[in-house]
Amino acid sequence: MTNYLWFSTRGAGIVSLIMFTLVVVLGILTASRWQTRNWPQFVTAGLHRSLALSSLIFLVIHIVTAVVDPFTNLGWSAAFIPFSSTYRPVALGLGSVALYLLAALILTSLIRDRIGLRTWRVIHWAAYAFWPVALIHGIGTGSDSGAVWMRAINGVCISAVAAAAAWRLWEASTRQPLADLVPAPTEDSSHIVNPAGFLGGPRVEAGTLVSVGPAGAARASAGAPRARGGDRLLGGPVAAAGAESYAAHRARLGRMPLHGPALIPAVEAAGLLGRGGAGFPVGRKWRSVAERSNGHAVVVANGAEGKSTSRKDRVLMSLRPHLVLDGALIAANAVGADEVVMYIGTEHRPALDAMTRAIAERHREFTIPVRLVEAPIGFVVGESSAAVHYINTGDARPTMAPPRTFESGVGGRPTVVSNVESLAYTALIARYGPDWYRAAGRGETRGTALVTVSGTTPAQRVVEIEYGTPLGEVLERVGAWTTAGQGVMLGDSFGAWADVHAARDLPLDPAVMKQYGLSFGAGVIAVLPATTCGVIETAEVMAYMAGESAGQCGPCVYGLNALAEATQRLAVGRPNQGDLAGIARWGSQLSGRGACAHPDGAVAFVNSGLQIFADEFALHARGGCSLRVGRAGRPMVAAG
Amino acid sequence: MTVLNIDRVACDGRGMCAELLPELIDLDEWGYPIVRGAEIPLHLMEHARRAVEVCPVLAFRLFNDPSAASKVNPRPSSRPVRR
Repeated sequence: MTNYLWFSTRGAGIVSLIMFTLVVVLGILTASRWQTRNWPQFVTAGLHRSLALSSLIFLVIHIVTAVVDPFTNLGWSAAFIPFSSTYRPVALGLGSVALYLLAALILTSLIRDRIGLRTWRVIHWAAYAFWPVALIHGIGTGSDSGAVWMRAINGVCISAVAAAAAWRLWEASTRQPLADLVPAPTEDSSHIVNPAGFLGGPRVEAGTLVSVGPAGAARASAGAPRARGGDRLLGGPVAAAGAESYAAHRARLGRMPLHGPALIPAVEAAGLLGRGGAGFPVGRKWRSVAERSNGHAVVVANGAEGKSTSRKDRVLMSLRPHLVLDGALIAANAVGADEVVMYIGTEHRPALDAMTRAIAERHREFTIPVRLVEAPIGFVVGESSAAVHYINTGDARPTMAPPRTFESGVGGRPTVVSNVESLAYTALIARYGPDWYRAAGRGETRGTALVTVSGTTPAQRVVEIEYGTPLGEVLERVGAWTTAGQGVMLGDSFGAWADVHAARDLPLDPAVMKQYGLSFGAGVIAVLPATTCGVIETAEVMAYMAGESAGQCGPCVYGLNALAEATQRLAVGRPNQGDLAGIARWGSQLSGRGACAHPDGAVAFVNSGLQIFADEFALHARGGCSLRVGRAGRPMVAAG
Repeated sequence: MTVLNIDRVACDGRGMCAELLPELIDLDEWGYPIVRGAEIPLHLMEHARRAVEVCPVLAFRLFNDPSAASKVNPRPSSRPVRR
């Protein structure tokens, strides 16, 4: 009987070693993506897992038979307390160390989804310690270690693991981190987005606000800012007067009204759409946070335009800081928030200065903390999850939903991330009501909005328009029409191309634009000057967008690179065979496959370019250019 | 209804989900998944669970929330979203 136990100990130990070796080799093969046509990766991963779990059976036999065997007389403590045995304490102790390492490896793997990938991976590195420890334990204690066959088994096991580890090291050296594949910025770290020359320069004018609006659109409470003449959000003193002081703000608009949650239905009734680009109804967003807040939500006033072509947020903050601040505090009061974060682009200096002064002017009145966080320079820093991520961790890259920010945002609390223009408007709705709000607007979408016009104006122009104002009317009023070329970019960031002549009568109304596959976005209107080639600009912007990927998501990094390179080759008249087919394929594949909508925007942009400049693209594919600016890859004349 | 969701930040294009669920997932030329259908039919549920189990980077996720479908593919607008 005792012999039976003793043989069991030895046999089960040897089987365990062989199984551990297989498990380690399979684990390394899984990590290094080894596969063949007939041996897919999930088989390797599945075997790794199953063998690891079944090896426990032999390990239990090995330990139990060793302990209960009266001949060895080990006792349980020798098995479970390392180096406590009197018999070969070191070699036997290594056995118990291996046992604990294995237990940690298996337990953490079973709860991998709960402890998170990073923790699991760090612990799983212990496999590289576990296996040699187990092997040395076997060699040191094994009664058969001297036998030729046992030496052969040990030799094969060592060679197998060594070979697999070498393969893994080689394989890892061939891999590049995703972020390294993002092309270098096309423009040196300038924070002004201007890759193609016509998107405007550092100069922004809001001085002459256009009077765009029908007579008599505003019939509302006496004293309320009227809908005409862009005098709602940017109403009050002229832009040249700079930031409005708190005293002037109060004299003009009165005290900040706080209605609590009752404001939410009013904002909903007004039909206020978010002004950051997505156009999501502000009231509905607030309501979903209010339902979860318990008085501890957070309001993030998003004033980070990043490297987008929009300038309206920084203009609004630098001229009407107290209206923006009112809006943020009113939002906090409505949704039940006990903290406000003003998230403002670090490069928006006048806006930052104005908001800093505004906070200082009235901080004694604050009942909840208001802090200002400077957003870093970048393209996607203003995306709502990126904003929350930066405020929480200092990393301004977007995160994957779920959870959405209204569920878990700043500090894990329900968070409203609202654009500063949206917030400023709620401060007016709180004063004058939804009917006043809806008195402006020429079509389905009610209200006014800020837009940024660039391209054929000497400086970028931020103007307030009524929703539904035709594109041509806006461009004529700001003097951007006469030198317009073929295309105009509409929307957010780079938006989408439209034919400027065909779109002359297009109402700038989100509902109407959507029907034409366009988006009002953040109100960007960038007109391509007549002297500039649309194909080259499309290629330049694509290169820029590829360079502005956060480098987190594979489809975005690889897809945008491929799109940028193919459009660039087309632009310079040297396309590869499959370039047009590739652009079409990537254009249909990339949408919705990033943590944020950066790839979606790039795809919409390039698709619209192919459509609007179809003839020019065909010409370029043959090496031509109707403006003869082709091969240099840059326009000869940049407006602005 | 169970819907699948791929954490695009975590995903590093290993492709095991496409091996297990070729009915729902294609791979692009760089090996990253293209989800053809986010809803998991009952007869594929077992395979979907295995995909969750083997995904080496925990990027393949299943959600039961019926409203999750709209959250998982939220992009009504195709522009970069700032709110």
